[in-house]
Amino acid sequence: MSNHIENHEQNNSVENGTHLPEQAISLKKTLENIEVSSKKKGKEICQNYPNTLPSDPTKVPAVRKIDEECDQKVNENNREHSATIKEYSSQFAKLEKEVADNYNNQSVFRKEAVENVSVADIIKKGIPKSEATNGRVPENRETGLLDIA
Amino acid sequence: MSNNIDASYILKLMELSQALSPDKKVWWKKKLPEMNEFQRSQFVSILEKEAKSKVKVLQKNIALRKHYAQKKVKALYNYVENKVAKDEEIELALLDKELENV
Repeated sequence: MSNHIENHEQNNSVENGTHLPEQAISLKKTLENIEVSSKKKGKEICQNYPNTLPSDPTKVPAVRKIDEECDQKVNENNREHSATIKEYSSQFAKLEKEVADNYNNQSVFRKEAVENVSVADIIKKGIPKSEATNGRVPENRETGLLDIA
Repeated sequence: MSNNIDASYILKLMELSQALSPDKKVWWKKKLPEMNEFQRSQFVSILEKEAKSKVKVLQKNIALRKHYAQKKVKALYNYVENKVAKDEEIELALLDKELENV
């Protein structure tokens, strides 16, 4: 029952994105702790029966078999995840292109905006004609915006 | 969640991402301020999906490790019980033989 509640809580918090990074980090730590405490427990049992068990629990064939089976299952689970990772990578690639295109379009727009400023506009805004070159307002190299201020 | 996008949250999600290589993380970090709201929400949505899937994988791995850790403990105690029973059997057999010789 308590397991059921625990799972239910975990599933709920997966849906709630706000704690996702913290949740993933905490689960990673939990997993590491389980691996460490499992090894510790195995050694402890071996120490309690020094005449019956070897000092290293993995030398017991049944334990070695269980370890192998566990690693296999965990690897299978991770492999399934790597397929979804590939999917996310391709989604990132698409978005990356879109962001890059968007940035380039903005640059083109800025350039066009600069070229469309006429000498009359410049005079209207009170900028001395001598500051304009060929009827264009120089672009601020850092911001990419018109230097009309 | 994607409505409430703050930079530190995005950076934390990016750190978790396996789909982004370290140099890509740097690229995205640079581009974040230049992205419009829609692109940003798309970006966060992919990162969240990946993080959710990672959380699910970790939860399953935890369940697997716990299950097999319990199995290992049982296997060790079984080994002890069987060995003790076998040793007793051998001892009894030896005693029987000794008694036969008497």
